[in-house]
Amino acid sequence: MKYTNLDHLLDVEMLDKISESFYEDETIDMLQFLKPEAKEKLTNWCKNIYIKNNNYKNDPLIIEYQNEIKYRKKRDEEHQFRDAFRYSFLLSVTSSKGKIEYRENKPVLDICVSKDHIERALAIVSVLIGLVKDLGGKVYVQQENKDNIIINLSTHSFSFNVREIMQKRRSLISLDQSIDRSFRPLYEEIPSGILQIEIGTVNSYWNKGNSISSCKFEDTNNSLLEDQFSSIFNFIIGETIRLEMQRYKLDKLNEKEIIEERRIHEIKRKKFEKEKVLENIESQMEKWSRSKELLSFADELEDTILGLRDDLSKKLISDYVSLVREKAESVNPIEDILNEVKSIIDEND
Amino acid sequence: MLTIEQYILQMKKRDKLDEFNFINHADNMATVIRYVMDYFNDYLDPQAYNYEKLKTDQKALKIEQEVGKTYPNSKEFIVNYYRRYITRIDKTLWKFMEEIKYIDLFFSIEDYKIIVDKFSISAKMKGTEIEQYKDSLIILAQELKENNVEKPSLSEYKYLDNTISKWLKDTYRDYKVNLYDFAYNHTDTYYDEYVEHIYDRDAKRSYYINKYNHRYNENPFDIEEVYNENINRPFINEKKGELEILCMYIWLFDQVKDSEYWPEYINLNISTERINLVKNINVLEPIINKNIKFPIDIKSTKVYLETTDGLLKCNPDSNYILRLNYKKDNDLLWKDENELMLVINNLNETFLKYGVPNVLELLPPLRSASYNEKEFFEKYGILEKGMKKYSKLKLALVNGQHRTSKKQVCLVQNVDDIVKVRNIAKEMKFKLKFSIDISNLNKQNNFSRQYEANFNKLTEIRNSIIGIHLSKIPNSYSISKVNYIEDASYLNKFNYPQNSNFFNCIIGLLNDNQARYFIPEEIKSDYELEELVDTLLRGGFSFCNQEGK
Repeated sequence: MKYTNLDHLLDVEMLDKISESFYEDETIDMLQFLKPEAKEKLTNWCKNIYIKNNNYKNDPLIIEYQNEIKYRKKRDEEHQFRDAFRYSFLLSVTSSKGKIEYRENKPVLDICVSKDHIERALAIVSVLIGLVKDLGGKVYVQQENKDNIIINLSTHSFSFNVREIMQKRRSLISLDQSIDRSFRPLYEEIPSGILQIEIGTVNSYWNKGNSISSCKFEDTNNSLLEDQFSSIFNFIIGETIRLEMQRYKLDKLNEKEIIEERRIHEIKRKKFEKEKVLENIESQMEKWSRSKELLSFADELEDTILGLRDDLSKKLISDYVSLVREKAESVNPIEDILNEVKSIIDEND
Repeated sequence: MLTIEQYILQMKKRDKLDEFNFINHADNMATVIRYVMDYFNDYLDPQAYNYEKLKTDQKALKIEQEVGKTYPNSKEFIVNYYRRYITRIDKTLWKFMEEIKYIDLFFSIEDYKIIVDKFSISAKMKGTEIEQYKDSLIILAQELKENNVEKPSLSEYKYLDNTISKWLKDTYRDYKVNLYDFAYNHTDTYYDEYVEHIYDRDAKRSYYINKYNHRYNENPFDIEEVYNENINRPFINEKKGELEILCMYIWLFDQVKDSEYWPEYINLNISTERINLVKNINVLEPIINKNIKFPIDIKSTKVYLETTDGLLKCNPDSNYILRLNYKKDNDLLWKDENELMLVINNLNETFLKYGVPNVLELLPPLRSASYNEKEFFEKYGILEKGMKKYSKLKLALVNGQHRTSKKQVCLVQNVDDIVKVRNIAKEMKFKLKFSIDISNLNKQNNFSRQYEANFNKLTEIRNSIIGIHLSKIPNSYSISKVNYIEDASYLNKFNYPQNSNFFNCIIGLLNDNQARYFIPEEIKSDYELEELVDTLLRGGFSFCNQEGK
């Protein structure tokens, strides 16, 4: 079930009827705007998401993430005080022990959880990558700035991150009285084991100014994240459809604009052409007179042939006369005039 | 000059002769006979012996003079031992004792017996028949130990609680044990192991990197082990917390320069009951303002209420602190005696109805050409007299809001004003105390530039300060994770946060053992108050009535 282009699945007639405000309303079920078969397929797919037992360790993005995190840990251990030392002194200190070379962070998957829950987080991300692939989309990491995860579904992008919720030690007092006995401050934030996913839309060139819509999903008492994939994909697909609809509308608007622009452009062009022709009239008139003069010159030359006795001279003059007539023909502006008038009245018909 | 026995022993060792090797029985006998003959024929030289004896006698005299004062009971033993064996037994024994674990804590005869036993069987003293001198050695050991102990100089321990100082003094007096030295030597071993020193020769700068995680450590410096191995000592028994605090004090202030952790550390020790009798530092009493609740671990029983005429509209239902404001700029109650009497009557009525508050805060009036401190104190005297019958009631003056227009200047709005009024009050023998609204002070233009000087002035009069108002602490963290002290940089592997200078000034102002009331201002939600409280906790403040106390 691959949906690389959603636009041909949209129920176009419906789209033309709805108003602007629909796009802002987040409660509307976006699936209603699809053609019925598509809607049914997608709804069923969402309902029946099941998690195949996948080995997330094979996914290249995840392998890269694990390697990068390992590198960062080692690098930070070795270069922890990089900023504190003087630059030239730093070089001498680190070259003596340096096994780990320093380089800036390479962006990888945006996952921020404690050691105990990293396996679970990676499994979730891996499942997500698989499901997106099923839908015909792709997941990648943008190689600039910070860590990120980008989901791309039929040319619309979403940002994605996984976090573990931190809670203050103080909030555990009511659950566990012994908290008070441990020698740690109550304001300290400790990982709670509750994972949270945040998905948000990423604006494209055509909707740069618009606000971003985002949604958070987290483990609750009733359901873990692993059971919430249907809601997650409902959100993603719904947003995709909404964005697709917005773009469709925008395209239509653009089309109208383009046609209008062309029309205006055409009018301008014709005006320009007409002016050119007007300006050219006088030079055409001059050419016309020259042509006429040449012709009368040729005629008069021909008359002189009759007065000649020499056959050779007759022939020479006769040849010359044909040259003159040729010249007259070439200077004759009638062809040009025909073309000029053609160009300005062509579209009028 | 060796005795015959020593000579034979020496030759035996040299030739590796074993008299119990019966195979060489005849050879052994011949060799030993030859030793004896060599001794009497060659070695023993009366002249040399006399010369040696003279030298020995002279040296012995010198030693006698040297150790006469320091080791009076062992003087004879040392001198005689020298005459016999030509070695300074006191020096040998002391060298041995220095290496013993926990030597700083040794004080009793049993302890010295153990030392002497170990000494007798030590490698150095093997075969020297030292056992016969055991009794003398015990006396010597005691004298050596006691001579090498100094009295702890408590003037240096500014931040140590009095109970700990007393413990140090008493232990020295009763047992001649200097616990400070012990703690220092103990933490020093951790310093050697965990602190790395790097020196930048060109910039002449030292870097000290601490790799020991001393913060929030359940068992720092293996105190558990130290305690258990010394629990039989009377001055250690039931003093595990004190011992740990002493070690941590030295570590933080002397060795890794992380003194910012000290107040929080003390307060944590008290709240987890790892120590008794030590008092909290930076104590604040939380007061509820505008019904914003404090976090769950901080119990507050008092509320803050305001009035402009002395009357209260509703029952506080608990202990309270009352602020006497005045409406807008109508400070007539401080300018007109009749108004003042009216307010006093209202106050009496309120106190009768709802009970007497713990503190009556006063908003100072506005200054004018004809109204200054003198006029204020005239009116204040009337108020204090009127409130005299409420013996437990305290009167406190708050600094007013900073105003920029010159016409409406408050009588007390900056630190110099506070100090001036306080000095006048003291001169006139009034019982007026002060409550500092730190956020109001901070809004002044000059304050943020000169805050250190201002806080110093306030610290000098801090015995008169009984409460504070605080809204937020701007920039409580410092960005840098490096501590610069006297041209050296102190870094921590575990990246402890550092307080900003401004926050440190506030902490310094309030870091005695006095409890002051704390009124949060401009807080709009429970969450905001929790953030403020957490900042204060991290800075080492403690709240009385905290959960767990």
